Amino acid sequence: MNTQFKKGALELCVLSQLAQGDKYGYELTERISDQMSIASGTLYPILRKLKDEDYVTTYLVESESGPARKYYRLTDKGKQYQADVKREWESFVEAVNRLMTE
Amino acid sequence: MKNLKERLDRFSQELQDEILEDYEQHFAEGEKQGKSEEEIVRELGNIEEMIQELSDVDVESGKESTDGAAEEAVPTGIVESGSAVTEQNYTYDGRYEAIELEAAIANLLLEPSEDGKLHIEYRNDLEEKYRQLCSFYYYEKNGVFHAGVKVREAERKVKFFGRILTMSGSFSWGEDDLLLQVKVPSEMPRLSFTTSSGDVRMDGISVGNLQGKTASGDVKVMGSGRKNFTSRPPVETWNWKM
Repeated sequence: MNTQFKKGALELCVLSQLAQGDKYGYELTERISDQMSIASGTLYPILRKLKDEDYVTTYLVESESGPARKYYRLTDKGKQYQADVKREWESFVEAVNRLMTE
Repeated sequence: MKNLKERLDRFSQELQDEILEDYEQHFAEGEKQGKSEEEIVRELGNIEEMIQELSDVDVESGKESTDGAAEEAVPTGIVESGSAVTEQNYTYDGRYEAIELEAAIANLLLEPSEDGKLHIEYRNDLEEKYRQLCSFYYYEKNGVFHAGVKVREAERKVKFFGRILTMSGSFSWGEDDLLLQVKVPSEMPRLSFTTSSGDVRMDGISVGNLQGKTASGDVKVMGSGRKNFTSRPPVETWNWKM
């Protein structure tokens, strides 16, 4: 698959998962890799990029066992961005569907 | 992990630390779920793929910091940029030797100043998501006043589906929703402007030397002591004495 395309789609998955609630890295990678086959490692650079661009913020939560978990939360800017990208995705998918059937 | 550390070597320390931390945490969580190390490594996937992704991040953040440095290097520079800004004003009552304007996609309106001061007003009434892509800047350097509009490309969108979305990334808006209005003091020795698609209107200003350049904007000059004229694209460069 076209890598740019895949990257964009993955980013939308990450944003949309976070739109439903804050998540820590591992939790997020599990959610996504449950549904599609991806190298979980690639999600960390995506998260980092989203953070650099102020679409997400992070905070630490102590865990009962093991190291503190880094949670990701969508910022207002990130919410807006998620909504925009989602809309674009939907109209794109609609167009593809139409073209496949008509 | 050792292999990962080596592969991360070319990135900034901060980025290295963060990714290593993410991976360590990922391992810890995976083990808590009863997964074997091999399993976790397999799930994390090819390090090269992750490094490739990371290179894109690093190049992008690197680019931003260079931009920032360039702006800071301007001597008495005042750089104003605000994503949510809809209106900004600046007034100056000293003398400048020249004014250089770069309006990009914004319309440019040049009028004579009534009080002898230089006034500049930036107005951005675009929709929120487009507004954030534009910022206004101004600074003074060696007696020359610079002001303009910067447009951040809708880079994220373009990237999203490769070329497909660049179409919907194009702007459309009403007349003067994005405007740079400049009140020019009389007898300004030199004024130059460039726009990409922004239209330019000039009404009754007097400058020693006027230079203009636009890719697809309309240019209208009125009441400047010479014959009024309107020019439509394609337009190249003017350079004339008024």
